[in-house]
Amino acid sequence: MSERISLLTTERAEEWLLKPGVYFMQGNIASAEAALIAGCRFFAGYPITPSNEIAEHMARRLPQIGGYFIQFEDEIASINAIIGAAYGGVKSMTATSGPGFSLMQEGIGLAAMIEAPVVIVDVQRAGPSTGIPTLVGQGDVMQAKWGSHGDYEIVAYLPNSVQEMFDLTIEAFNTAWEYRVPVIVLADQSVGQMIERLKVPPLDEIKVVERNAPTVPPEEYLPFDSRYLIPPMAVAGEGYRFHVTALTHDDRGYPSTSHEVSTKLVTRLVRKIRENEKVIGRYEAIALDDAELVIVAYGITSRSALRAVREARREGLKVGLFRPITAWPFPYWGLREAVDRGARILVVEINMGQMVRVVREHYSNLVDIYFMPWAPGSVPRPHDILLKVKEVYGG
Amino acid sequence: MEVRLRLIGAGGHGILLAGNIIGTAATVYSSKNATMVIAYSPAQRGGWSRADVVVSDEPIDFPIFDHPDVLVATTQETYDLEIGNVRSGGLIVYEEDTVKPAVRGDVTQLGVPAFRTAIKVGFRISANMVLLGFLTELLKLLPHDAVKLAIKARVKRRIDVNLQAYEEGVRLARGVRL
Repeated sequence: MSERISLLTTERAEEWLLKPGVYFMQGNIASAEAALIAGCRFFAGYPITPSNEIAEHMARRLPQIGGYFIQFEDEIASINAIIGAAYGGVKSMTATSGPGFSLMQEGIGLAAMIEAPVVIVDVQRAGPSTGIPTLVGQGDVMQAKWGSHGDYEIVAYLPNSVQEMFDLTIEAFNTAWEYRVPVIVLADQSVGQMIERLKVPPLDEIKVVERNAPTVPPEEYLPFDSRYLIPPMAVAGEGYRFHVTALTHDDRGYPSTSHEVSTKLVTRLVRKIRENEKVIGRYEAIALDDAELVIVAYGITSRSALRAVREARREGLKVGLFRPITAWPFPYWGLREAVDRGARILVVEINMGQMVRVVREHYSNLVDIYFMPWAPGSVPRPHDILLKVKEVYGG
Repeated sequence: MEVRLRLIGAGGHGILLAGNIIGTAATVYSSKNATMVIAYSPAQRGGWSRADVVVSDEPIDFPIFDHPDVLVATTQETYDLEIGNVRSGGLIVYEEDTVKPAVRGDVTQLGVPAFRTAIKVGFRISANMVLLGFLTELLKLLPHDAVKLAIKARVKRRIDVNLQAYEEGVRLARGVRL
């Protein structure tokens, strides 16, 4: 046991990490390898299609580098296990899909409340409920943000390639540990299970964020010190004595029913993300400069939309693509310039209307916003999107 | 140039491995791009598996397609399933001994005795390598060296026999004019 744990900090682990170079790799596996590079040494999960390759890969890889893999009895146990591991100071993750993600919501609320840095990869499939396990959906966008009760903020990334399954998983760990917040890699079945080119840079070029540990003596330590937006985090076994509860708690971590304490805590939980939204939030803008119509699409849908944009441009239509890389915080500011020019917006997503609500929240009083719903189970083809583009463009 | 290949056959025919080798040869051993999207029939046994591979000199925007430029089918069932989907002017390569081809005037169809050839080299399940050699030689999509390196990287056992099967496939394609 002790020998195993000592491996966590030795350089031997590095020898076992994915080597820099070019690979032809599946998105889910790229995410798992990225997690290991980011420092993940504990995975807890329950099998579910189409995320299984992540768990399967972690089960093989974690023991090689001195980490631990546990398959739990369900998703509720899994999310709670990684929260516990995070409080043990170990970078931890789980992977799931729609139905499992639903079960994890209570735990995500717990992680948000006690500020446990955890990473959840949700490889979205067709829903609702069991839906079509093997086929794509993008119906978890709102759940990722609002799935648990109460007021809190999370961060969710929207990879659209195998490269981003890798890059954004590393970023997810960094954000989780920098902000002490649960972070969701909101992938979809297409991106998770497709195989394509992955370039792994030299390890020393990959930014890895470590825990901001307390520097004060143990007797002065406050686990939820509200003088900080993000309090330094002590972990079990370091000599710091602290109390953790999911009840509304004061700076010492003890339960309180005081409105003052509640105000202090809940505002800090949202402020730490909201005040950093432009640091955390990311997007890609393609051909927006002169666009008269902007397609908003993410994940696999953005790749179909990109081809539709290219075809539209060939036909002389001034169409651009706005691709949110974070769903939450939603990078609304990236659309500002196009909106100010009067560009109209078309949102395309594999659901009946989720991100479009967020776009409307920001811009419906300024420009016309159109929506192309697409039922889960398939990806809209470029010609489907192009048809809608022409309908909107002409109208 | 972007080429869309659909490889389809029975589970166990090495369809996904063949697709993986093409993608690896393109991305790791040539400076090309490739994507692969896989699909299975619902059956746990006796079903089909499909690999949709795009190979391109440019970054590939959308990896999903409905109408392949090239179809490779190793069973009658999968051939019948896909023959109508190949784009007009496309190419169909079918396993000669297991598939009875149908008439379709706007595509080129070529039969390859992949299983017979694989049995000849002494390893029946290397039929996928025969087809891989045939395709590589015929389409000039990738350098042979790159594909052979990918075979060495991806094939777990009997690499020499698999490479031999590949060479036999290359030989079958020589002299074939598209």
